[in-house]
Amino acid sequence: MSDYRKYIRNFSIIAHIDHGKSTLADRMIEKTGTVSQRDMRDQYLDNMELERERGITIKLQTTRMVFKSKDGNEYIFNLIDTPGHVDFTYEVSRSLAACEGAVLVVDATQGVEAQTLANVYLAMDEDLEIMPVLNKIDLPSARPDEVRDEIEEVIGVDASDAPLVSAKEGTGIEELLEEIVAKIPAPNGDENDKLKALIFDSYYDNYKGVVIYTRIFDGEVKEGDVIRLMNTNKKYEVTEVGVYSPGPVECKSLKAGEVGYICASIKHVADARVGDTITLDSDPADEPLPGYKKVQSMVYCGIYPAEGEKYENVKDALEKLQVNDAAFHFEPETSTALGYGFRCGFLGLLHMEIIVERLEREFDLSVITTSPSVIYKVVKTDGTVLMVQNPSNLPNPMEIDHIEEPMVKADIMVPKEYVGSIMEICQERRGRMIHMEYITKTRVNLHYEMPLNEVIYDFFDALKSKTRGYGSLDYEFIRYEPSKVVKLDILLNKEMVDAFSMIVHESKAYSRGRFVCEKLKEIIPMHQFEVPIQASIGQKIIARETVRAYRKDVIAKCYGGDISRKKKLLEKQKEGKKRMRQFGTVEVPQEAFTAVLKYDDNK
Amino acid sequence: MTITSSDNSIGLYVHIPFCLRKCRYCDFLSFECHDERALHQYAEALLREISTRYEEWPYKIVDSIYIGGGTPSILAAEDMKRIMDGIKDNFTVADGSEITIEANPATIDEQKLETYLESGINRISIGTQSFDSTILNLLGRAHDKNDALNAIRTAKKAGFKNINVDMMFGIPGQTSKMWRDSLRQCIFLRPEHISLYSLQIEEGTPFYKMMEKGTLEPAPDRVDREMYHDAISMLQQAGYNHYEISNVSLPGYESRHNLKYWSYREYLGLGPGASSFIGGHRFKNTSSVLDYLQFIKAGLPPVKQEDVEHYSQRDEMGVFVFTGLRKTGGFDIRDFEDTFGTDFFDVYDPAIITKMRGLIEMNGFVMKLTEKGLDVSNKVMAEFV
Repeated sequence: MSDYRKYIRNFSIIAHIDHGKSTLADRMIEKTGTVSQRDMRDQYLDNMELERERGITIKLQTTRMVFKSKDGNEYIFNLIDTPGHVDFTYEVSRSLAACEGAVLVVDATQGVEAQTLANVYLAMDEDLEIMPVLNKIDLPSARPDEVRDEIEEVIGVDASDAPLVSAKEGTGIEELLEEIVAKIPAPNGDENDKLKALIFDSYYDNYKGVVIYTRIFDGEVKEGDVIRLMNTNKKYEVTEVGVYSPGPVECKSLKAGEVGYICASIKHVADARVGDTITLDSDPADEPLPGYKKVQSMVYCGIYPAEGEKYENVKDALEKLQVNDAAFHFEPETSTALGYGFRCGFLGLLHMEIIVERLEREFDLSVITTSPSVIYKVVKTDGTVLMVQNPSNLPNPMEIDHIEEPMVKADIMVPKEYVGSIMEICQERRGRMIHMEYITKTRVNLHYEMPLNEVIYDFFDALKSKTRGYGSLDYEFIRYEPSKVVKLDILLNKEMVDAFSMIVHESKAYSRGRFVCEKLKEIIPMHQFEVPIQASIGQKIIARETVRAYRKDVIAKCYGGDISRKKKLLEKQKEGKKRMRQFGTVEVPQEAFTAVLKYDDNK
Repeated sequence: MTITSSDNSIGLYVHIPFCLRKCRYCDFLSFECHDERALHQYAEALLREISTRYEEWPYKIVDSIYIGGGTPSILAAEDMKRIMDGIKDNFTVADGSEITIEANPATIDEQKLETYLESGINRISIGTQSFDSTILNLLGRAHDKNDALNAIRTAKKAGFKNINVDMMFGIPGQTSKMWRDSLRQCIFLRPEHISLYSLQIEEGTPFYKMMEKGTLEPAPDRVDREMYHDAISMLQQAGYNHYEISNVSLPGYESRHNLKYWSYREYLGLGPGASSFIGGHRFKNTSSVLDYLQFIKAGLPPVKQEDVEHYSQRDEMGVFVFTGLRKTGGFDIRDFEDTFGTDFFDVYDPAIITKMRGLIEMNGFVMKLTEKGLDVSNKVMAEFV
């Protein structure tokens, strides 16, 4: 083995949300002196405002640190961060593929969670060395011995000498860094072989174009090389290579075993797909690295400019987001109710929420999102198959032979006292239990098969609410299954509002119809006329509510010539109207669109 | 020398922020006060404000004065007379000016009224609200039905030729019959002017708290509007002219001062919390009585920076329109164009008229609310601000 590789350690940190991954990463950065204490801000790696706020990592960050070990040598640590949510499994798997080891952070008060497990399995798939660490050891409720046993029992890794740390207090970090040197293998590879480098993330930079995060497995890459992306088969000339520590630092070349970035004037993130293999055009590798797949959107929804917002602005923002997020895509569509907008595809519901929030925050846009939908497989009577992700595109019922919906395998991990309520909410959502296992004496893993459509609606909210936040969920697509789904329409003042239409299972149509009507009744303000709100399947009305008419909207007394008070009142009224959307003669506040999707505890 | 009023004459509003007791629905700037010395001190402060204010606007001719509250009649008659003298000594008050004082039926006596008349006050506005003792009691008024009747009779006897009576509807527990009976009683007494107020339950009032606790059920909108329309038609039949959303009068007795607010005319407010629109400025005196007294003591106008409004031309246009629409006769868009020097429909999309069809109407150059529009005036007005 080349000498330089002996001193490299490439690893990820895997953890459940809230188990302290980001804080731990911060401590490591701080301890190794990568960032001076003065420049340190909380959770260095989560550099999107949204990420810090939600306490989750969305975009990857990778950081090179130099650690001076007790053995007298300096080691280069490449910490490859992974996104911490179920929607981003593929991205996690590619990040892990770039490592030799994974530091598994387990909260010493909480134990192993479904998502931890899901990520551990991904790490096992990549044959990584898994190194458990117990975090939050400072808390009085920490129970390290029990959690150690749990790790050994559930995951089957030796946790007897797992470092005990408190990322918050900064204790045990030194020991952890030494453990990384000792436990995690140095990378293999041959810098003289043909170039093989894995893209595990990328982002768009206004000046450099797409910046690719990569792990070099074999060979060497430097400025001026012409590279070829083996799966998309596109060629680019390298303009810059470097490493992040944690800011970009240009270097001469990246060699086998190293982790860094490559810029090659690439215009779209979608052109440098995660999982693709980089090789040299002049001397290409025989075959790409395994594991590449094109990400598939699982959830779709319409995004429309809100009243007063310009279509072009929304389009520009979506384009900018897409440039940075290969998993997100959109195309123009029109709605009778909402006008011109976009059909957008996401990895999952969280991914969708993040995009919408970023539109609102980073671009200061106000948008309306329609009910999220999965992709239905519609088999027509003439035998043709149609993939439908917009309820409005569902063909006439007469032309439909049957419809299939996507099913997922859902693993739900909960403390045993919540098993009953979880079974209840799964059953309500047409889940089929495959089996149930006790992971420990107190914790249960429930395996369900469930329609994705039920999962994306409000399942996660319901799960959190029923288990007081202790339940965790992991799911993946398994297959399409025939299902009796129908299109549920909402009519306001007898006119259908297509933006409210959704595809639901027959058995849920009545309760959903009622729920939406009730919600809209609460939200739609009184008009000068009665507004009937109806839910229908085809011609059949299945639920109805009425917003009564108001008759009075006056301020009688204008006290002592205080015009400004009255003016403010009228302005407030006008401002309120701006947030309204006009459908025919009915005004609907914009929050109505999200409100009809919210989980209702009292339901 | 006779001084006649003109379109440029201003109105004076004088605020007396004290009451015998605070009504349960009241969110006006007013405090319970029984301390005669404090009331006297306040009158002194007002007098000082009058003279400093005059120095700011020496060329303005006053043709309406409105002394409101609170309960102005709570002041000693002598103090009121001194205030009136102060106004006349400083400002130029046109002949035939309309000079109104608000009075609570519980604080009226003949002698007081005579002093008012002597001091030049020629119009009295009586806060009757209702002729039903149960309702008066619920409202927390300091008077009962007999006081109400007596007050109006006393005012007439004392020689007031222009009397306004406040009447309130949409009160919890008030039936349509109770309302019509009160109105009949009122019409029988034939005051020259009647103000009709729909009860608004405002935040921070005892009524609001009661409503939140569920012990007070506000009158449904439907009942409230029924009462309003009942009242208007009864009063019109009795010969009253419905000239402003909540005011009717016998012909020729429209309140000049009240109309100033709705006709984009100037007015100057005196006393804490009083609003002014004068010389293109809009401001409000400080609402704190203590601060007010401090300002006056220091010889300064009692206006804090935050109480000065900075309206753009477009803001002013909005005010012109929504105040103009308060008048049942509406406003003439040519007046708008004269005031602002722009075409009305360059500022406002003509589509508003179509959009507000049924609520607003244009007859020639006059724009006004329809009968239906009067009920939802805010909705229409919001289109123009």
